[in-house]
Amino acid sequence: MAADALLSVRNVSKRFGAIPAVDDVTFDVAEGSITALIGPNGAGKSTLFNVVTGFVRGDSGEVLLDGQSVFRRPPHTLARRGLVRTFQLTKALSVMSVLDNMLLASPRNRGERLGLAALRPLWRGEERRARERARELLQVFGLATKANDYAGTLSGGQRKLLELARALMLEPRVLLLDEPLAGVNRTLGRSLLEHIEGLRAERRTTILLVEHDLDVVMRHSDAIVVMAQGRVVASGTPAEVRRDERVISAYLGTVTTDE
Amino acid sequence: MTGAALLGVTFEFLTNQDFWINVGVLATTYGVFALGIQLNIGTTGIFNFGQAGFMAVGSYTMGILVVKSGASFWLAVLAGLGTAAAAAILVGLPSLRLRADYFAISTLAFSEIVRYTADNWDGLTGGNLGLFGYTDTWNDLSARIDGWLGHLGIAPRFLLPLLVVNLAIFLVLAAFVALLVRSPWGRVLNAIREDEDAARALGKNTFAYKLQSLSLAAALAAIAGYMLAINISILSPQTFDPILTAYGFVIVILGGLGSYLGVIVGSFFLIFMLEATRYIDLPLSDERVAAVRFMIVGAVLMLLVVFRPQGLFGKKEELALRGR
Repeated sequence: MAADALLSVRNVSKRFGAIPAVDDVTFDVAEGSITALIGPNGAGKSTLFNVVTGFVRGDSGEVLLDGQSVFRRPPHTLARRGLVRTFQLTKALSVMSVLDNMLLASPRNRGERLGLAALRPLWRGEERRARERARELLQVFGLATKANDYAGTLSGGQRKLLELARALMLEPRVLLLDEPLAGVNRTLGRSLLEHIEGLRAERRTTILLVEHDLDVVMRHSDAIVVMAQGRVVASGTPAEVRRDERVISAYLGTVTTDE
Repeated sequence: MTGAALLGVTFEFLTNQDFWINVGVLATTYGVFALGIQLNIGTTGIFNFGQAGFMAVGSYTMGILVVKSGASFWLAVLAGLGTAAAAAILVGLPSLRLRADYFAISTLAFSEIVRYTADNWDGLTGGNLGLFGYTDTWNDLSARIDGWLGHLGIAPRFLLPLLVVNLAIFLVLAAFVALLVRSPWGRVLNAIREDEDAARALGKNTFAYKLQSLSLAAALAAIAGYMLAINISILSPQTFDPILTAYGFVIVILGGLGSYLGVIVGSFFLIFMLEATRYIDLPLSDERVAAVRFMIVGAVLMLLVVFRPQGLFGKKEELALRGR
């Protein structure tokens, strides 16, 4: 394991029945890096994401966050430890306001305990601080004017922004973004990428993302992990990966079998 | 002959105080019952079809402790809250991890298991002959309330003390649950209803919250059970038919999903309809008149769903956003 690895995936496997969706996958995500996970459809990227974030129970292997095992822990425990994800299909909570979406993510809010929920004075301060922080983030993401609207009224791109802003309420150490640019127009996509790069630069947030737009991946990531048929077929810097024959054959190979 | 009489309805009952007291006592009972269903379905999005079962567990606990063990009524009331909440945890632990439809079936099955147990465990519950003799403490209190009302110049009237107590409890509980739901705790429940995975990804232990929601609903069911037990003075298994849970659902839909003011208005509205239609006077046999009552209630509900699908106090824009 590299010395600067914040997230380390070791020999992780997951089968669905007879099908090995993720097969002995090992890679590191360096602290403060933007690491991209790429590969053709069905390569096992989403399953791997789900295993790492606890949404799917892995069969074997190990996942280390800052040297400590987080393998098979439930999603909420991982989120509290700073391993926070977003989803490919955005999960904006439609019938809640944009601000409530943000506040929901605020960590360690005592008002979330049933025993204290009715005793507002005990958590009013925390709630106010969370509200200030939420408004700051909404400002940064250009959603400040939407704070009181239902999240369900936002456009697809705005929902992606909201989901990213909401994840930041948790002050993540590692942010796992599942296709953050899917279904987002170019302008908004550029703004999302700026936010992602800004996060890395300002907060040293480590980012692992799944993305299909190879142009974007090559230009914006420090390291790339290529998966095909459940396995890692190559990894390295964008320049290294671009030259790698196995990557080309992984992509072209699937293209010819798929179509 | 007046027009009303032609329709087979006389409206004299509307001026009868006993009619209104009865409507009030029943509406507050069903209202407390439905508060729990609203918390589960309207706020948390978990389909609890076993509310009548939790009600039975709570009220039988109270009745058995008072009648069979000679426990104090108030201790028995506390114990019933505890057993109802414990039953909810017992039912929820294995079934709340299941898909929503399996959870719904599990709670319905639980409710029927409780009812059949009460029906067959004669030694403990009195079986279908019923369990009675737990109302002494209430009768004393009721007489005292009659006295207080007398000081205010209100003549004693059957069930009036129960109405006063029920109404106070119902309004306080409705306000309390509404307060909880508007807290950060309630925000997590709302998020679970919207998208449980999103809440989990944001660090919320959604399973624990669903258990809390269900236990709280069960405790509310127990309180409604005490109101019913005192009103009818006898606990019998057929009282806790699953149809009771269905009435709770009707109240929640009438009032509007997620609205606690809606529960208050919805419960009075439903019980008024159910009770007022008893006065229909048609040249038909009794069971046919009983059927006509439910046809009328059903027709009113259908009209409401057609013309106001969000319920009386639901928000139309939320209805449109659901599932987006």
